[in-house]
Amino acid sequence: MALPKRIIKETERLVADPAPGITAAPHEENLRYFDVTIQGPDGSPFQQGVFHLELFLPEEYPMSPPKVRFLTKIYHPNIDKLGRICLDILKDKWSPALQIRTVLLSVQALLSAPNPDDPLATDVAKHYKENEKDAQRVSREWTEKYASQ
Amino acid sequence: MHFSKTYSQLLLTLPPELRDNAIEYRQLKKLINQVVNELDSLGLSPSVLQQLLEHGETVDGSTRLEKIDGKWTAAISNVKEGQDDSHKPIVVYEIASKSTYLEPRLRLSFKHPHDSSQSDVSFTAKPSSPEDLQTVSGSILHALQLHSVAFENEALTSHDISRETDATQELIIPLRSDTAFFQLLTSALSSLSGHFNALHVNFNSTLTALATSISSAARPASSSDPKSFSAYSLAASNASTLRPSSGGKSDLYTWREVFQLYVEAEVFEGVGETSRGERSVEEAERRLKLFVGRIEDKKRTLKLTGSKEALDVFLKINLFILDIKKFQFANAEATRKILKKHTKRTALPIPPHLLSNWNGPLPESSSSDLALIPQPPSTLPRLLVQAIGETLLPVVPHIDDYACLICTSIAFKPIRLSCTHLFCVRCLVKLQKRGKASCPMCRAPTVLKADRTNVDYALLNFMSDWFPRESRAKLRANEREAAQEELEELGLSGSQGCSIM
Repeated sequence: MALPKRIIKETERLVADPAPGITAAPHEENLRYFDVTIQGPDGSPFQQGVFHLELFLPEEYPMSPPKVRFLTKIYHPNIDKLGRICLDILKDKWSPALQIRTVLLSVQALLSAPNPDDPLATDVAKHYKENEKDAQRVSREWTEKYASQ
Repeated sequence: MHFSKTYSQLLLTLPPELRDNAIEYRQLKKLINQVVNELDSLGLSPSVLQQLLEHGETVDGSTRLEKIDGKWTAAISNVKEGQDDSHKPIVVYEIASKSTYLEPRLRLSFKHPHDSSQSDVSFTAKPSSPEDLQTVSGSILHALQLHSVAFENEALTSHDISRETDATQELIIPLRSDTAFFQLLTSALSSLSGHFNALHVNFNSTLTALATSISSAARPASSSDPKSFSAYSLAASNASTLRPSSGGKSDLYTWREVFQLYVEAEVFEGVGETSRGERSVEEAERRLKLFVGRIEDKKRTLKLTGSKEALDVFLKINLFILDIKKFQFANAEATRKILKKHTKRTALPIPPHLLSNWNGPLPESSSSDLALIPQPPSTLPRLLVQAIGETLLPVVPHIDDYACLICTSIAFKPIRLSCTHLFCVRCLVKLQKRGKASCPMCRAPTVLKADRTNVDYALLNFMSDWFPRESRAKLRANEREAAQEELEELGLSGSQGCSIM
């Protein structure tokens, strides 16, 4: 089926005028599949890191949310070993007024503000709750090990 | 190349009315030479002056502005007492101002070695009349020079002297040619600012006239041929069969394209994530050329004679803004350079608050107090660009302002939810079918409550009048999609709807 006008428009703007610290490029053979990179926000333990993600727009998009997953290993209470992200707007709080751009900005913001009270990776969340400094140290180590360019 | 040459060449490319209001760089340069001569005649060559001023600064700590008898004065304050060299003459360069008249002068203060009263250098009394000053200045200066020499001789035994030196004498020397310099500069800048105000008023009336002529050329077809348009309403029995009409003579679509290209060209200001803000003169010129090239063929598609003229005026006002931008940049540069030259040649430092006028706006509270030299209105080009965006472009409604946030096409037919948010009927039906209750914009539970009465008829008619093509295309697309969905619900997907066995 032909690509909806909305997806074409969003893609054009993502490529022509990317949000700071975020890139998203569609695959040539599947224009609903995007290669994404997000720079770790300054002041977070993920600073200096470049994280790779994949983003897929299901047939139902924008009635259903995009599917987003980290490909780079990351030590974060709301992101699990498989790279799945615990973020409300990707689940029940999705709204068709949101876009790829706003979703990726939210993921970037999640890196700045981990939420160990709503964990996906329970062991990481426990670490963050019990000893935040040490957990951040591990996050920094992982960033250096897996997310440095 | 020398700046004065570059400057005069640049001015030659501008219209004469602007050129005549430019800063007279050469003339100012000549006046600087005269200032140098005047200072020389006082025995204050740049190197001597430099030393004395530096000394004044170290003793003074900070030079500040003080209002004394309605005059602005940079006064010496917080003199550190008991310093070994506190008896050395202190020279401060200050600029007094009465309303718009600036009077630069040198304030000399030095102590008598044999007077023992308490010291206080922040002396504000001034000789009563300029004549007095003229007569005494020569002799005191002579004394100053002697004192200077004497001080050098006594440098080794300065301990003894510092205990004895206490009384202070002060002398103010007005600098005549320096006054002429600032007079020329400030009067040029204030006439410039007056000229800019006049240009601004003029521009706005041109713009309003242009907006009127474009809006009459770009009005929807219904205005010239009322029969071509029939309104939708809830009561009309034909509501479902009516289609937005085509036909009628209007340049609506060409003007919409021209304005779209203009906005996309981002001639004077960037709006992208990484290229936000005002463009340089060169970049604006390049982009304006590009835009002019792009609308070349649009010019031919304009049907009404008034439209062609209006387009020429539109291009002219943009060229005008570019000229103003060049002119303003050249003047700011000339002012900055001439002040820098002034300091370099004479060793007289321009008080920082005068210079800051060119490095950016001062904080609100202090700007009126400290702006001794009127600030050239660097914002004029920006104001003009803003006026185009506010007065002219809205004459032709833009599709983005009437788009459905979900499908990004025109929100036709428009459904207004009770939370006031607007979506196209197609996307709203999809939301309802999926049982989504909350508004995509505000999450208010308004989606499932919407029905026929939520159609915004006023907007519907506005859209089919101003966006006939888009409205028709959207209507067709909606019907196609609805039919497809119906087939799928019956278990017959569109692609396999008809298969040959």
